[in-house]
Amino acid sequence: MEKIEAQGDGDLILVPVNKVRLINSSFQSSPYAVKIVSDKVFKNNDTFVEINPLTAHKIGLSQGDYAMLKTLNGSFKVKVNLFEGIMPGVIGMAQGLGHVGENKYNNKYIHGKGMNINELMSPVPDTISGMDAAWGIRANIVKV
Amino acid sequence: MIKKHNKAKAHKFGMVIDLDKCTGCGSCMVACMSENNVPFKENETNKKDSITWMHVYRLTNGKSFPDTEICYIPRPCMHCGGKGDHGHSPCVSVCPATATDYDYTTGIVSQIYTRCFGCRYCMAACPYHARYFNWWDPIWPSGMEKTLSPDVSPRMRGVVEKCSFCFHRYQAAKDTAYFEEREDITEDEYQTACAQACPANAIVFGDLNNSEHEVYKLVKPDPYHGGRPKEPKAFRLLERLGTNPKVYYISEREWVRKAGDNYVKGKEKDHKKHNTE
Repeated sequence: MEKIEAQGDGDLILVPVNKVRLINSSFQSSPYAVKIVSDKVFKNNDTFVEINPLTAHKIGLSQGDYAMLKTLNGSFKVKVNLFEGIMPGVIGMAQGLGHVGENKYNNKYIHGKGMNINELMSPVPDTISGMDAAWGIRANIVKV
Repeated sequence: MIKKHNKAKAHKFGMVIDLDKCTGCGSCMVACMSENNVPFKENETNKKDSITWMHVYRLTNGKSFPDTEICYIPRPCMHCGGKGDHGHSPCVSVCPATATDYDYTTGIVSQIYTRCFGCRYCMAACPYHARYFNWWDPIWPSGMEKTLSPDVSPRMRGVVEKCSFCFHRYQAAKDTAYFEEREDITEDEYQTACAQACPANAIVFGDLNNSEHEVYKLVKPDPYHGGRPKEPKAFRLLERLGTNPKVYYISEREWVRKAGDNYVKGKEKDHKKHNTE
């Protein structure tokens, strides 16, 4: 059985986190749902990433710091949110933000806000099902 | 016990929220906002001016991975009765316009938007941060006027608003009972939007004065000790302030019950004192 590994190189693994109040696919969350998303997920134009305080301390990151998140597909400027509940060595980023392009539904309440984590991810084809496997990708994060 | 003039016993509407069932989904927040015509802006990330009558907070137990636990706490307006339910809620006690008042027949703290002139003294007084100010007039996206609730008045800028325990639903239930020539309303005739929407049934709403109601059976409020719950797993937020809130919480987890009040470091054992009185 072939084992699928996180692609790229980097000390940490970036995983998407599905927030219950944000639709994590191409559908756009409604205004009331976007309103109740925590300001530690996105605030104004900044997207947050969740990091364990132990990992953050090793890199020299503190709560609210700006940082550059880099994977083999690109890099984003993000803000740091320390959370004890995430595993050390893992970076969590909300999925369902970063709706860009044509604002077809004129939904200014979610359109253009935050960053789309899918741009950083690199799906790998699963040879058995033929579908893409995309869960984690190796990433690095440095303080800006 | 306060009796109304027609010799019926006064209601004391309250809520019991089971924190072990709450998933933090936010359905209660959304249901409340849509039921009560709460406005929304394009950018709601500044939580200091974001109006959410029902607000779900997240607590952690302070331990590091992998022992971290979280707990979501929905917090509506507590409709504080003050000591002995005499109506000395912190907000009612300070309002210069009597825009907020305690109703002895239902236990609900009212908010009369037309009387309020926006001094925000009540917001300063409320220890639960349950009150919100309208910094702007509401703007509804075109077409959305059709979805607004006709039973709830929208507020203009300069006015404070807060959870009303869906009082308009109480009025509707009373009207129905009147037309059907009944004395009083039943438990399921008057339920708040949040209790109705909760997919985990974590929020239970009813009459704390009625021993048949679910809320009474869950927490068994003790009228001789300031309304404190006799049920040991139940607690109220900031119990020791003496606000006598109507919203009770239940949790099996000790750290959650302890988080309900502020304790001076080293005096955490005070927490056990009031529940075993």
